[in-house]
Amino acid sequence: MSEKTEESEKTEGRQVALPGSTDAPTAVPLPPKGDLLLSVKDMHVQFGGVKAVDGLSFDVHEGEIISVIGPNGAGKTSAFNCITGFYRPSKGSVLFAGRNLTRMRPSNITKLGMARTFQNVRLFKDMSVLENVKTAMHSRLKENVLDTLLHTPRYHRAERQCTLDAQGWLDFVGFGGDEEHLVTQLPYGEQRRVEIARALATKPRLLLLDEPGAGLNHSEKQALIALIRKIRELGVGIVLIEHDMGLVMEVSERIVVLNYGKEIADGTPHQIKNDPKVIEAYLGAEDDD
Amino acid sequence: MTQLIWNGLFVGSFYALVAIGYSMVYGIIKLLNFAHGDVYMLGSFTGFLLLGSVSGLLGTWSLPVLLLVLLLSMLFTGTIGVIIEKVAYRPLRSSPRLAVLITAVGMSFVLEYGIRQIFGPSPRVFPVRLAGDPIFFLDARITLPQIVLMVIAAALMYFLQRYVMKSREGRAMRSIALDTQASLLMGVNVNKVISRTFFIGSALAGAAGVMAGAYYGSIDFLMGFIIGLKAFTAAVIGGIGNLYGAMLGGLVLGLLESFGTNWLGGQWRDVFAFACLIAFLSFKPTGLLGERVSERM
Amino acid sequence: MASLFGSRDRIDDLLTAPAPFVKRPEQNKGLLHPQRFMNMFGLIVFIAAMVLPFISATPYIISILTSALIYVMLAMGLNVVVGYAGLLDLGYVAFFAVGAYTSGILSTRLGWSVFETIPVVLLACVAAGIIIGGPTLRLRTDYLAIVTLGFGEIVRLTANNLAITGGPSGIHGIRTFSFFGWSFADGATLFGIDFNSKVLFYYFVLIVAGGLAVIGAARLGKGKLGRAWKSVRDDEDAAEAMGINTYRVKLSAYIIGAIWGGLAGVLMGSHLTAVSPTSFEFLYSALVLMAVVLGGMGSTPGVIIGALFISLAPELLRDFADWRYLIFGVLMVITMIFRPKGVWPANAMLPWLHRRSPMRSAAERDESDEAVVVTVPEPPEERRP
Repeated sequence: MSEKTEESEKTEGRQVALPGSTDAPTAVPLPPKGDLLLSVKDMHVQFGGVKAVDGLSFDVHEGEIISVIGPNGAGKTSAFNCITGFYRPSKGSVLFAGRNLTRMRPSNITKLGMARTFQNVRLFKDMSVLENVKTAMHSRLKENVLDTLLHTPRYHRAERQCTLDAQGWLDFVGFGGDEEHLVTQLPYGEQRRVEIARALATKPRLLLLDEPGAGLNHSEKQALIALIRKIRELGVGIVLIEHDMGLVMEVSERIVVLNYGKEIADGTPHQIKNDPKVIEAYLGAEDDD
Repeated sequence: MTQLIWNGLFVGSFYALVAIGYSMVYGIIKLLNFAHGDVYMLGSFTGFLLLGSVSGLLGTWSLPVLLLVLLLSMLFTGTIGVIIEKVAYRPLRSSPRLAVLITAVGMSFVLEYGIRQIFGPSPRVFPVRLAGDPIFFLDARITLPQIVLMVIAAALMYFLQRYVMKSREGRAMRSIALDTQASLLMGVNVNKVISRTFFIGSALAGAAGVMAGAYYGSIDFLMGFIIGLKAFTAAVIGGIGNLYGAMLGGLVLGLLESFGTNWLGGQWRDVFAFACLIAFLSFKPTGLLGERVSERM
Repeated sequence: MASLFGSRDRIDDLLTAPAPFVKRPEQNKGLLHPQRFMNMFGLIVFIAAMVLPFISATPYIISILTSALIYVMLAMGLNVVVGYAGLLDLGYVAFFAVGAYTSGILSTRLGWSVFETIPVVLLACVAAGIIIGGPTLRLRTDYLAIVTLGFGEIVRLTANNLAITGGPSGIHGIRTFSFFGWSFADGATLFGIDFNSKVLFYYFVLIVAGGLAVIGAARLGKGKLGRAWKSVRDDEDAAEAMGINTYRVKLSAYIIGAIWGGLAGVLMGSHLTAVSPTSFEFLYSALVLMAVVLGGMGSTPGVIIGALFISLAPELLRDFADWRYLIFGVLMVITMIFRPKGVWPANAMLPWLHRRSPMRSAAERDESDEAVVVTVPEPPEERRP
């Protein structure tokens, strides 16, 4: 779309490290906390008389993994939808990289560098795996209607690069199926992976994962943990909604606990584990996990 | 002025009768039954056939015979409505919306051109033409048949309102409209209720068809197209899915049309009505009585 | 309206895409690559259509073939809206009318050559697309269907009521195409063969409708915009979450559809030398929709087959001419219930074609599944030090 990003892609796009090349910078185990990325302040979401989110505040820094947990119906997904622009908060604000996101279209929020996955995998059903990931590069692809109609060299160049990048992301998430297949032909675990690859292909600074572990078996969950860490190593901030406490405790640096739309705790996994309010919310509520 | 209001209300009550079926079906299964206008046309032709077979009785017993024919036609169109739902829409209930809409367009074609094969492409003259000496009320020219038809329409709507709001079956309908899954879990026989809804909606459209035939005197196989579109407009104006909304929307559309025609000229009547539809959908898609539904993902 | 142009606001990218490291089989270089095969196949069909007038060139046959090609163009345009973007347009014929009337009025009243009217037609179609799509594309699919139906009727009734469009009798005496003083009506002699104006016009329509319109729509469907359309069709929220402004993308589908429909209208006006409101009834919108649905939504070969079927079947099966609409209606219902993707589904591939030369074996795939997931190779690179 814009000239600037195209230029920056051109100059930086090829410094990608090929596997095996020795001069690739090795990942730092835990990068220092970066700049403030996302700041949710006193967010309220209301549906008719139902308060889905009732005063939620938290910050996410670059390269940080935060989990939002809470019993079913606690308002986690509503909060996600609000941050990503699908719902309008009835009160409060969402700041991302210094910009106010409230009233912004979800697509513009994505363009700013925030990507998400959905609770129930939502891939484009009648498109191939590769096309699904390529779709995520839409707003960066320098290819106008005339290029497409006339198949100009620029079209071929853009498409080739786009395919290569999509394949790169698929390999990154460990996709092991046939990328030419329709996504509906894939097993569930692979679909989850494709969804993450698709979100990464938007080149986010912050990635919101909505129950990425749901429906995965043990080994798939282990792979997911590895993948989440790998994404963090790229410097991407991650916000995670998850029910699997094992996964949450293992991967998160900080945890925000919601109950009935209200934030009841915010702290490190260790603090959360021992917080009486959290224990009460989980045990006092109908058994959830 | 009074004349315009009266004309508007009269035409509006037809729109309301057809709009109710549209709105009820939409409220329950979120389907725009595109073939609904054609069920109205089917009602006209059923009435045409039935009246033709009892034409000997018409002279003296016009009104009672007409009522009986009305009832029989309602039963017939109601049954057809149920069959349409079973054959064309039920197999697609879990399909994407686009597929069901296209099926509805196909169904509309089947009805229209099926009738065309039976009755031919040219308009038919209805055996009864309700006409009467006008009476003047506040400068408005009102005929007796107009009053009778409006009374019938009002009575049908009244019974429907009682049925939906007071009866057990009506409660089941409303519960499905709110949440199909939950109703299923509560032991509501969803398929049966949907069938019943199609029956009622189609019967009302059929009734409107017979009455329109008797009033205007001429019927043809494409007559349902415009009224279907108008009824949808009425349903949207009132707030689709809302029973009172459909009734109100019908009357409002009738009035709007009546005044709009007076202002712009008769040839712009339909253009004006559809412009109203687009205006409403653009600026107030929930209609006059519709609730603001927050679309949850 | 600000959202129409979107925000160009962006922060510098943090990530660069990693290079793929799993080895993929080579692309099939031979003729059995699906894309190449279909291109060849299309070329053969095109040449066959070129040869056809040499076999039989009665005015009747040339005339129905010309109409059939115009139907193909219409169906390709509607396919963009319905097949790719998943928006049900029941008033597509409105764009057809806009094209036919604009060019008809300009050529008969102002004496322009039909060819010269094309830029104005394009502008009119884009405007019509924006006027119809602008306020309504925020609506849900089913509302949209009825609103487009209403728009189709508004356009037809307006043409029927206005004096400039010739009222109910329409516009007569539209001339055939002429270019810089030379007209098809002059005929031509090439390689010792005489071509009359009708045959020349057939070739022109074949190139414009059968060639350019089909290739153009198919290319758009495969490119960036096509992916965006399909993503909106499959899941609008997810598409929005991918940074696609779904409103703008839907509007673009509408505008492209409008242009295809409008140009088809120009061709039709020139072909029939007249346009009248009866050519723009709902029936014709429904017929084009049937062509798309029966053939296969989003499938280029399917839509061409569908359009040829819809336009040629009544001519080939004269005895059934009366029954055709009833049969089409029944076919539409049956197709949606039993074969919702049409006779040639969009993702269908002929069994002997494959994209990659040696298919990845199942065993190989399982292996890579295990290997890649657990032992993650080198991290693909980080931009910041």
